[in-house]
Amino acid sequence: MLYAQGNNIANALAPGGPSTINHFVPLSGTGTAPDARGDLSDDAQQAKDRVLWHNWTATITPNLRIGDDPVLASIPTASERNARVIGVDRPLGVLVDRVLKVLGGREARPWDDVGVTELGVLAWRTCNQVTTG
Amino acid sequence: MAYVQPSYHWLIAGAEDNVVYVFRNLDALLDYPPDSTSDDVSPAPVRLSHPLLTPTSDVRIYTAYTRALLVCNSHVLQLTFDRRTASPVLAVVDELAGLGVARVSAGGDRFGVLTPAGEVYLVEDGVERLSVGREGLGIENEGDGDGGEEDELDELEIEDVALGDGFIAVLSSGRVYARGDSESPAPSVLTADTFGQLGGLAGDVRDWTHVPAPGRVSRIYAGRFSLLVDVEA
Repeated sequence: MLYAQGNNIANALAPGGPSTINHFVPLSGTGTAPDARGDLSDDAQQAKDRVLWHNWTATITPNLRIGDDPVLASIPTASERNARVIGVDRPLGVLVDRVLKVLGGREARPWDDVGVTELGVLAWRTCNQVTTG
Repeated sequence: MAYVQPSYHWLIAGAEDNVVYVFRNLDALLDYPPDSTSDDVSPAPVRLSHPLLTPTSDVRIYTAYTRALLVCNSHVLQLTFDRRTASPVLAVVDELAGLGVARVSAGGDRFGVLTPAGEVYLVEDGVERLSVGREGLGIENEGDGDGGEEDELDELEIEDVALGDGFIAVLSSGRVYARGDSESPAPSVLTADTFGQLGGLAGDVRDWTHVPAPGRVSRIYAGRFSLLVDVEA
C-alpha cells in the first residue's frame, strides 16, 4: 500500500489535505487504502501499487490519479502494468505496448521507450520492429 | 527555410541503424518520419551512434531536467547537451562499467543508480559512490565479531533509492533513511525537509536519518519535495 508525505500544494498526495504533510498518509489521503486489496495476488497488487508517475502536480498509479494538474484529465489511461508515463515536471503522455499517446490525441509508434527532459525528448526502438508511420 | 522552434527542445529517438535520433521537440517525434506530401517541415533529427547501441539492444531511458541515462544491457550511457553549442553528446559512464543496474532514480538534474550489489552511485557531471554508514545510524553490522568479511560491512546494503530536489532517500532492510544534500539544485531558501518530505525532521538534514514509515517498506519513490513508500501488507 502506498503512503506519501511532503508537498501537497497541488493535492498530488492527499486531495483536500494540508499543503504540507510531514508524516506518511495513505496516498488517497482519505484515511483508507486507495486500492482495495480484495483477492488480488501479490503480483497483481504489486502492479497496482507501482507508481507510474509522481511529481508535485500529479501522482499516477495503474488505478489512481491524484492531483490538481489539469492534464490529468486529458492524458491517456495507463492501467497496464508496463505503462510508462512521460513528462518533465508534468505528465505529457503514456507509452503502452510501443505506442506513445500524448495530450491532444496524437500518437506515434513503434517506440520501445520514451523519456522527456527540459531540453528534449528521448525515444528508442529496436530494429526488427520498426515500421513506417 | 528551416523551421526553428522558439523554445530550445531536442527529441532523441533510438533507431534502426545503431543511432540515436535527436529531435527538437515532441511534435517532431510525432511527425517522424515526415510526410512528403505535407507542407509542415519539422526540425531534422540529429543522429548519434554508439557501439553499445545495436539494432536489438534493450534500452531503457531515464531523464532528469537536462540530461538522460540510457541503460543498455547493463551498460550505462549518459546523454548531455553541450553548454556552448547545445549539441547532444552521448558517452559511456565508465565508473559504472561492469556493475550492472538494478534501478535508476532521477531527481533534480542527477541520477541515483542502484547496482545489484546494493551500492548507489550519484551521476551528474561526475560520478560519486554513496556511502550509508551503519555507525552513524546506530545499526550494528551482521558479523559475528570474529573479524571476518561480514564484520567489515560497515555500510548498509541498499535495496532502493529515490532522489528528490535537495534530498536522497535509500531503502535498506525495509527501513527508509534520508539526508539532505546542499549540492542539489534546489533553491537555497528551501531545506531538505521544507515540505515535510522527510517527516518533519528539524534543521538541516546533513546526516543519514531514519524516516519512520507505517510498516516494512518494499519500494520508495520521490518527487521534487515529496516521498512515497510502498508498505508491505
